[in-house]
Amino acid sequence: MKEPTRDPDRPAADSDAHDKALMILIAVGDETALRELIEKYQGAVYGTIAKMLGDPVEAQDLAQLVFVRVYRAARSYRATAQFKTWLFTIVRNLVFNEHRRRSRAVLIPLHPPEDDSAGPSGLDLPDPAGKTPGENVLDQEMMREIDRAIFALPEQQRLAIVLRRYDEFSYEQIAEILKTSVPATKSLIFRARETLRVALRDYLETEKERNLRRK
Amino acid sequence: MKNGSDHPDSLEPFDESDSLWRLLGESRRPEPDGWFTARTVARCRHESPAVGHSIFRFWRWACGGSFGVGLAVILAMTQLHMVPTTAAEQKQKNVQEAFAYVASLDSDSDTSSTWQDSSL
Repeated sequence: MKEPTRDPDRPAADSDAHDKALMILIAVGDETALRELIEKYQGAVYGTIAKMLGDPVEAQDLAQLVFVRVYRAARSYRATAQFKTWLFTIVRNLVFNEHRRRSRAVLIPLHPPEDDSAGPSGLDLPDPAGKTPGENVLDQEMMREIDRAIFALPEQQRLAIVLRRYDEFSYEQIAEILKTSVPATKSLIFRARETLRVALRDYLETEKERNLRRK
Repeated sequence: MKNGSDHPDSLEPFDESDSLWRLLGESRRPEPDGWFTARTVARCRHESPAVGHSIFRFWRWACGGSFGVGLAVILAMTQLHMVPTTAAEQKQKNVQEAFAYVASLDSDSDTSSTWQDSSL
C-alpha cells in the first residue's frame, strides 16, 4: 500500500484525501498513521469537548474515546462524507450522551469547585506577555465569564457556536454534524449569539470603550 | 454585509466578525497535554484487539456455544428416556408388572410350573 505523503500545509480537500488515506492505513493496523491522525485532530477534538463539558479531565477521557471509536471503525469506514465531519459526528454523539448521563446521575465532584479568585482553570490559558498583574486578573475573569456563558447555552446551540467560532466549520458542515438543515444551523448560531451578547454585555461595553479610547 | 444581530432568514452567511466574535476569541480553546497522543494510542491498542485476535475470539465463542448447545440437547434426551421417578408412576409401574406376571401364569396348562411345583 502506498504511504500517504505527510505534509501539514495542504488545502482542505487535499487534507481530507490525506485523512482518508490515513484511515486506510489504520484499518490495516498502521500505528504511525493512527498517531498522525490523533496529533492532527487532538487539539480540535479535545478543545471542543472541553468547551462543551466545561471539565478538562472528563474532556481528556472523552477525547480519547473518540479516537478509540475511530480506530475501531477504521475497517468499516466508508469515505462518503468529509473525514473531519465524520469525526465530529462521533464527538457530537459522545458529548450529547455524556450530557444525558449527567442529567440522569447526580454527580458529586471529587475536587471542590475552584474559587473564582484563584488562578486560571484548565480552560483558561492566559497570555501574560506585556500585561500588568491587574490586567491578567481581569483577563482571566473575563475568560471564565465567556466559558460560563458558553456553557450556559443549550447543547445544540453550544456545539454550533463552538464549532463555528473555535473550529471554523462551515454552516454546511455544522448542519451535517448536528443532523439538521443549514437554515436551522444558522438559526441556532443566531440565537446563541443573542444569548451570549446579553450574558457578556458588560465586557462588550468595556471593549467598545477601549476601542473609543484608542481612537 | 448584514449586521451580526440580523436574523438569518436567507441562506446568505451573516457577518460574524463583530465585537462578540472577537470577545469569544479571547477565551482560547484548551489544548491537551503532551502525552495525550501516547496515552490514546495505548488505549486504542488495549481496547481494540487486532484482526487475528478477533477471529480467535469468534471461534472461541462459536466452539463454546456449540458445546453448550450439544450438552443441553444430550441432557434433554436423557431426561426423556429416564425411568419414571415420581412415587405414583413407580406404583403404576409395579402394578403393571404384577399384572403382566399374573397374565403369564397359564393355570389351564399342565406344563404350568406353578402346579408342578411340589413345594406348594
